[in-house]
Amino acid sequence: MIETRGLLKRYGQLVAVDGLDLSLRPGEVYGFLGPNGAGKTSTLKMLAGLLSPDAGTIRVAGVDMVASPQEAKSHLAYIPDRPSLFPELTGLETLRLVAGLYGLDPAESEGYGARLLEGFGLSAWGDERTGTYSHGMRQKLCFAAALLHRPQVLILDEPMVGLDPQGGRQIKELLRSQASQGVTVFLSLHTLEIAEKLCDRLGILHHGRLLLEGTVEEIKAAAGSRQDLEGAFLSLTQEGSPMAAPGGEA
Amino acid sequence: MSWADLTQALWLIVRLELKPRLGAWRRWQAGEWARACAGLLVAFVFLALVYGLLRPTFGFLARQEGLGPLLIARLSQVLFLVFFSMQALSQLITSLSALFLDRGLELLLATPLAPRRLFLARFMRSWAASAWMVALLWVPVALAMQRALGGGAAFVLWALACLVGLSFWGAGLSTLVLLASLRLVAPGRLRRAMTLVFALMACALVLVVRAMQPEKLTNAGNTMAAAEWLRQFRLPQPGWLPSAMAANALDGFHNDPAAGLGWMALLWLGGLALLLAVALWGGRAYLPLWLRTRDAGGGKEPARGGPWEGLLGRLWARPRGWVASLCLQEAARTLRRDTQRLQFLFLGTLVGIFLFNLARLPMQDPEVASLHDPLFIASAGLSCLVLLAVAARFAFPAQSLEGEASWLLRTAPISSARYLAWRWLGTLALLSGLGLLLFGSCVLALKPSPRLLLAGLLVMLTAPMAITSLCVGLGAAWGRPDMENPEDMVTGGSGLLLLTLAGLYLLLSLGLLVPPLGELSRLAISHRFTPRWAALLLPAACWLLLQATAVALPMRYGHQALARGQGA
Repeated sequence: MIETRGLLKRYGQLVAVDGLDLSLRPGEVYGFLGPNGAGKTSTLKMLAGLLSPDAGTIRVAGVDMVASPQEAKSHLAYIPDRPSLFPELTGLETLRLVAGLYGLDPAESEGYGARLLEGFGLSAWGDERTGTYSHGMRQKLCFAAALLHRPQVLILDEPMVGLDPQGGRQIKELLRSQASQGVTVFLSLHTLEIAEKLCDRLGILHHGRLLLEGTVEEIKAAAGSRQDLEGAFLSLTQEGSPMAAPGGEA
Repeated sequence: MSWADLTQALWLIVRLELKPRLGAWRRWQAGEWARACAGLLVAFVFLALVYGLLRPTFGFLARQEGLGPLLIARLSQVLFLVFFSMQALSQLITSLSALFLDRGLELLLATPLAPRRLFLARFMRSWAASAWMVALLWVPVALAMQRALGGGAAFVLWALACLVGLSFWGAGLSTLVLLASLRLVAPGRLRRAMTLVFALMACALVLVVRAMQPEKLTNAGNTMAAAEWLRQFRLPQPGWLPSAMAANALDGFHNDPAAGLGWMALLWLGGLALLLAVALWGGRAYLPLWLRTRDAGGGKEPARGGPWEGLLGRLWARPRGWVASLCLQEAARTLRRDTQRLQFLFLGTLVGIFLFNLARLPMQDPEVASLHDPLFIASAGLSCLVLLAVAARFAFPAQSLEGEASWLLRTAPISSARYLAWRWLGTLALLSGLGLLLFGSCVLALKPSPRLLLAGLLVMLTAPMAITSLCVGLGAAWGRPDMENPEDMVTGGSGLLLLTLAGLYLLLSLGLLVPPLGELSRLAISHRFTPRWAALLLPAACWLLLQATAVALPMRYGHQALARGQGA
């Protein structure tokens, strides 16, 4: 469902993403882990069509993102790490804007949007401007907006940040439910506990390169210890570790 | 307030403001340095143009026997009043932001740093921020005056000292007004109150223009009338106003040095005393006021709905595609955002003043008949500048106004080319409508010759397209979604570059029309039908090429930047 080959992104002299090869299946929840500055957000933005890669290919639902960005974008939804919305629009107007941008049927999207708002506990806030929303409410509205066009791929950058325990649980359940319906979920995370419970597979990114990918057990085994995921992650990404060194084994 | 407070405040400015900027400059790459050099070059050209315009004006005024000193004195009064207003207004806006709305204040006030020291640092920073550009603009004015009146380098320094003294008053009075106002209203509301103040100021400007009755000067044959007008003309400013003090101090340099020195002492000592009073009072009142504004919601208070809310609600409820959705989003953002409404007010006033004064020109006077064509050229040029001002205020910062929410639009299945084309067409429609109104008014009021009518029509049909392209394309390429007030883009370096490019385009566009139109006139007068093709076709071809380039290049530049993911 998502496939990248030799993905490369540079900012001046800095190589943020360095020859990344990824392959995600339909219905899979893939967690992207890595220290700050590893290149996770740049990768996610390239997958969402927000940044153009300097080299390499991206295919979303079989469509080349560089050659046909519009078609590729119509299959995916992206939620940024900071849930920024137009503060002058109300919650309902935001959903109507998204429906218009994706060319959805107004009557159908109106009903589905109302159900999504209700599902996220935002019904009473639909007519309020998003500038008055709390961080968690904006995050939930972003989810509602992302799901409105029923995407085949969800790309989420740190989706759990700023959510209360109930909200966090609701999102986890939602992601699992989407995955069970065949939606591919690609998310970056810092909370390893959530990654362990939520993700089918994990990829560890460091200095723009994919150090390792696999199930939690495979990663623990590759780290060569009986530690938990946190210990494995730390030992893998520790500066000086053979894998973390530039040119190390991937 | 002690010496330690002052040194600590200066340390804060160096540590928090200057060092990070110096660090950022060190990390600049070739492209950023090139842009900065281009900006500096544009600023230098702009200042040189101001000097080039004022130098002959002051020279001409100084040569008028009997009236010369009076004319210069009146002009310096007007200039000081304008500079004082600019600086005071700028201080009001920058200090509101620096002292109360800045997101970093929460972190700074949570440290053991004494609030009075933070106030002092931010107050000094606001003064520097509001005064430097005004002082820089004053340099060519002072140099032009010195060339016309003499006095050497001492006069230039004296004139600069007048402006610095004036800036103390501007900073002190504005900050006092700000602190006093915030005891009554929250910062968010104060912004809206400032909208009302600007509206009143705009009305006052119209009244001042009417009080001056400039149309009397169009009676060019009667110099006595002009002289009488000048003698009767008094600016509505009493002698104790800081701008009048500065004008008196400057006037005294040549005419009465003792009085000049006295005014200068009053200006500086009074200004410094005012700054000290503000520092003492503000230092004590700052923390309680800041806490109060936080309780009131800071600057995040959403704008209240206006009379257009019902219409917007009905439009949102209708079936729509991406074009209608984007239009509605743009309309909602424009109508519900205080700063955007303020822009509307400014531009509405600009158009109103233009049309009002056009209607008041005494065109029936037979002595003015010969001025129809020159006045038409000036009015058509002004119309183009009004269009440029509208596009620069609305279309240029539009990309940046999307802010961090731009991901919603950029991840949607709409190509950046289609998105830019939508913005271009929307802006062009509005600009063409406004252009038609202004141009039609000029034609009706001034009844130009057919040759000028044709030239004006050509410019009015093409200028909106090029101006829209420049503002939309460059606005996308130079967009700054992280800016707190994207509306300020037009007054920054990129805005200056845009205005210079647009000004160059307008000059070239008009200049290239002159030879073919002249040739057509020659043919019409001589009744010959063998044109000089080189004079007719070459400039016309260059003119067409200019139009095509001015429309296509900026849009291509903007599209490439968006496709690369600039600002994402």
